[in-house]
Amino acid sequence: MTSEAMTAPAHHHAEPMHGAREFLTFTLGDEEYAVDILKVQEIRGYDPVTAIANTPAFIKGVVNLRGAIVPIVDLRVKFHLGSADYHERTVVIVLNLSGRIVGAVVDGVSDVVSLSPDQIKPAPEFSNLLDTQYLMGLGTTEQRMLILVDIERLMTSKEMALVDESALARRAPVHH
Amino acid sequence: MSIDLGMFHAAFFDETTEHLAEMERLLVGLDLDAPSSDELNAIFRAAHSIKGGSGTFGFSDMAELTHVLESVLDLLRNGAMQPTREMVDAFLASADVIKDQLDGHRAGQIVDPAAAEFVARGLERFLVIMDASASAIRSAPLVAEAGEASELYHLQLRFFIPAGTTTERGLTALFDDWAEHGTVTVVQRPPEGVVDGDWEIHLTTRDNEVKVREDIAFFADLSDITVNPLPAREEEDSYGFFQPLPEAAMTAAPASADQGFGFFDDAPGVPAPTADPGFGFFDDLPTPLPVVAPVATPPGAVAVPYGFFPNAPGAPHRKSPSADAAKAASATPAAPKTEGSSIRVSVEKVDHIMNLVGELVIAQSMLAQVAAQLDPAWTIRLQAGLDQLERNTRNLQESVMSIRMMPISVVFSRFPRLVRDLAGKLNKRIELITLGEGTELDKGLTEKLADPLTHLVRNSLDHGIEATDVRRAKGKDPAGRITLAAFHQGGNVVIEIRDDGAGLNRERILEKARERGLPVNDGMSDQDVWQIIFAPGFSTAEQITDVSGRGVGMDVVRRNIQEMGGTVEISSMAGVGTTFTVRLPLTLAILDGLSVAVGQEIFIISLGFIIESMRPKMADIRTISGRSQVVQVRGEYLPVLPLHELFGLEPVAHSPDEGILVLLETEGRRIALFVDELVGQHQVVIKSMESNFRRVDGISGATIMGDGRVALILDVGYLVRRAGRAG
Repeated sequence: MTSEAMTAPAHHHAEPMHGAREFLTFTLGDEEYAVDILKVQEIRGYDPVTAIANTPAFIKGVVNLRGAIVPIVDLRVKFHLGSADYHERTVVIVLNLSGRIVGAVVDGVSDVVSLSPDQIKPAPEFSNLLDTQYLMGLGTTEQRMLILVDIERLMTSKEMALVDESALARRAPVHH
Repeated sequence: MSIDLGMFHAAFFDETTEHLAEMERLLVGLDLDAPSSDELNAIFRAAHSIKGGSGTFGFSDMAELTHVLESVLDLLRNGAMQPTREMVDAFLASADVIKDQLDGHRAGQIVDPAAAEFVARGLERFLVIMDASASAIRSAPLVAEAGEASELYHLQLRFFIPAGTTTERGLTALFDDWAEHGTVTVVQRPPEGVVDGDWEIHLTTRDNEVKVREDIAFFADLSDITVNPLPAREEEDSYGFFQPLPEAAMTAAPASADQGFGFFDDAPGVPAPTADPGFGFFDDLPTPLPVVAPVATPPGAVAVPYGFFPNAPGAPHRKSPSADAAKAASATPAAPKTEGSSIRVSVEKVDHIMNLVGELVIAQSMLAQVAAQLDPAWTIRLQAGLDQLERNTRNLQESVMSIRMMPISVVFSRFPRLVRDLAGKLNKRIELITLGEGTELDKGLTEKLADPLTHLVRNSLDHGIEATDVRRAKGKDPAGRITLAAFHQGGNVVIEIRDDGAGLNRERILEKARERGLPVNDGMSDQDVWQIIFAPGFSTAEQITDVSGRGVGMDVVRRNIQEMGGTVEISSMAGVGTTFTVRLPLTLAILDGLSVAVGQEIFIISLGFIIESMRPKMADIRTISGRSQVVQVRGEYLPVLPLHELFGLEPVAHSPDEGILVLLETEGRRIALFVDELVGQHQVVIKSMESNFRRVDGISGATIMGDGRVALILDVGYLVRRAGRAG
């Protein structure tokens, strides 16, 4: 393996507020996104991938993550944000979505924020990048606006082509 | 004391499943004309164990049904009735119901009692048939108890009690406890009145070794206990070392307590002479050593009439007990129990170890690659260590693999019953022969193999073997023969399902295929014609039976086998029979593969599909309709499939004569796969693509190479179909 797992960014808030949830924030182009920290397994550098033929361009391929074959998705390519180049500072967020592991390439990882329910507003209908069904809402903290992504729903969606449809059908009833 | 029985349930379910399978196997194999009493006993014991277990765990429905079953079996066992075909049918039916009940309890559901009621009534019929019906039924459980008592453990127990850890009273209380259901003989002990020291005890008890060990450890905190089985059967008959004794009653089954074992009987009137010859051999002793009988018995009753102790009247002179003890000790290891030679481990644990070992193999080959780049002058010792490591990891990997290997008999064992039932239903006479039952293959494969094999056997029975009168008219043995054979061939397990039936009918298959609009012609090779029966929905059966003939299944059979990485082939000759040959990899986890390069990528091809590799001459390459290429190999034209085109890669070799053609064969078809070059041959650990990703056309899995990168394993079946479509 060519790169070691990096440690997750330090938490800014020692005590999460009551009912608050923690999110890992990352950037794609100029926009700031966030995902539920509980879905994040680790953050790594970008290892060379083994390409898979006849897959969409945003599926870079598969890598060996401690013996498991894990697909790598470049969210920058998927959403046409940022520049899709790969160097030693390229970051992969390794997500664990109900036992399925997926790596997501992003522009950069910022920090972990804690958001209470009143800091999360419903997402407006005009997001052109992401269908609102994949959004949990917009989070506001310290003048920042974070786009909260329902990463599990997004990654297991048909348009990401990461999961067999038969497997999707099986998973549907237990979706949380 | 309340114990959570839940943790024992899993063991009970597993054991009962085994008992049922054993019972079924014995029942199907039972020779009705001359039933072996060993087998009848074994069947009875299986039913009895199920009854005992279900009673313990409160599964009363199972206990009730097995009780009735056991009652009938007991009559058979005692020779009170002769087994008949109807009985065996009824037993098998009740075994099925018990299986359902078991599955119900396992899933935490209640099973409809009607089925149990029905089969129980069927069983009771046999009890009523008996002359003294009422008494027979009543007495059955009693006889069963006596039978149970004969299943006793004869154990030799040795332990050392450190000073001050327990009292004599504690021990004697334990001995009393054991003596209630058996006998206790103290062979060696510290002097009277002293409890600490070496003890040796011979025990006849219902408890097994583990229970006895727990019991004794409870009374005295002992670390050093040896429990050995004593030769039980011999004891009952003649005891070897006690040979001269007319009544070898010492540790014999207490069930026959009336004969000589009066010492557990409180009755003072037990005739002394009967006991005497049996117990007298402890005289001549310098110290009052050997026997502790239940201390609770009135002292007088023990001491005087039984003559355990020296100078007791009527004690005949015998050999010294130390000589006896020595012989006993030497006899002990002669009859080791096979129990405890295997353990039950959950498959997840084994799989976890497998994964870890897989990682280890990868890490080891990574190290080897790095070391190979170092200056050998500096690294001789490192190299030697790495070589050692490689050998060790290979051995470890093979050992772990072998844990998962199971004999194919676990699959074959279901067929005697299946064939018996189906043959009865179809009114055919069938002889089933199984060969190579010890052939081992991966447990995962045995599980997946059951369905397709069942289907093939059914198919042979229903369509392959002709009706009895047809066979007679043809001058064949009226009893059809189905042979299941398993053997290893190269890196594969081969399973053949042979029948000596009518064989496949080429004309009929072609005719049906035309009716269904399948692309066929009369010039097709037999092999191609036989493959048609694997087409979805294809059936040539004249009438649909409830056994088979709906044309559902052969396509599923082939798909199931291919999903295991296997192939199925047919050979058939009219009037002689048909053979289905299923070829499977030894294991799902490891693959012998050839790695090939295309552009920057490495792909793995399972060696099982490869006929040969070659660099063709341009003269052998022909182009068809300006696009598709074929290559001529020994007079045969094979379609050329460029892998780079299929996967959209930029190749190094653009023309077949610059690269390599790998000839692949599966499903009776051959293609030439065009790649840049051959890289090497490896044994690779197969990793699933689907666990985190999804199925990819043309790829059957992935593996991790020595440098930690992922290489994809080609799905040869897909490539061949793909080439067929293109050509």
